[in-house]
Amino acid sequence: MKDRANAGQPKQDKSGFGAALRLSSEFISAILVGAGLGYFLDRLAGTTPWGMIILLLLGFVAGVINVLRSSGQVANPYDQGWAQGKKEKATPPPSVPDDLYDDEDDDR
Amino acid sequence: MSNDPIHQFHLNKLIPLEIGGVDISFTNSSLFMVVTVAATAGFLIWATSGRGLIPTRLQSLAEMSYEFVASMLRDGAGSEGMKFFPFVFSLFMFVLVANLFGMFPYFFTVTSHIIVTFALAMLVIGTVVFYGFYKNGLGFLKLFVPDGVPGLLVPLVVLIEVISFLSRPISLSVRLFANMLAGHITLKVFAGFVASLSAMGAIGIGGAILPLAMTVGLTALEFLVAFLQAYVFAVLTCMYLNDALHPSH
Repeated sequence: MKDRANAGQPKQDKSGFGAALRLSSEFISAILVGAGLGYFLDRLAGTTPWGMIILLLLGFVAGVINVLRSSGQVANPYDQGWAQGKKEKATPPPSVPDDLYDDEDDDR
Repeated sequence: MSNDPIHQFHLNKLIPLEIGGVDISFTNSSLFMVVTVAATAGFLIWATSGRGLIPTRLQSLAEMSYEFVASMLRDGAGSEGMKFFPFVFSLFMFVLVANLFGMFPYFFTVTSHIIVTFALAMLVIGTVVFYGFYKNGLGFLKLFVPDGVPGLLVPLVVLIEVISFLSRPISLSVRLFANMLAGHITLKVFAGFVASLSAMGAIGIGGAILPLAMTVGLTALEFLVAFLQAYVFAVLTCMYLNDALHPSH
């Protein structure tokens, strides 16, 4: 029954705890991936420690980008803009009428 | 000890099984996954069995969950994304029902183990990668090259975007797992305060009212988190599927 009660929730979570976990997981996961990628690259290519140093730093960069994107501080190229950007460039997929892209459309 | 806040996440082998040296025992986690799937499927089949033009309350609830996920998917991935509806709907219902089952006392929370959430996240990212390459061919790689980047910076930006992409399954799984784990531990710790304080006599019982109130509040918060995390998981799935469908952003 709870899903019905909460179905009208605003899109982003209002609790600070949720936001903290969301942003920190975005940040930390990018660093972990950078470090892991660097570690395995070093083991494969024998370039210890340079791969890990560089990729760990790039992991920090990617983490900052992740956080900025998920908090909406910079435009997220992934979750928006494909509808607007597509229209100028050409070829929206032919089978789909254009107005289906409209966010305001309630479909009911 | 009954107050141990970690004890609730302990895996017990219900039916020990081992095939080819691989331990595939049926654990309490497996049991609750089966129960979750059975409850979800059973509810939806039962609720929609009437097929009334004027829905009953249960049928209306089933239809609302359908509409909810369908509009989420349309907003996130466009109407072409609807071919992934069964996938997203199953994921959403599984995570939601598993989270809500975890709110019953003495029940096991399936999503509080990172290997479960990581497997779900890898399923999502695997679908995105396979479908992206299947549909767009090498054009899928355009995902990693944002428009309008100076030529000199492209290798650096691509590397950063690749790391950012690879971090998605990890952040997706860690978020769900950490929310469920942290919430259940907090709940257990505050509930444990009630028990240990009220063992200290009259003053203790008076003091136990504070953590009791906190526990009540946290329980409500946990219900919210259970829903919200299922929602966030499904929304991000839609967003990632959108990348597979339209990689040139």
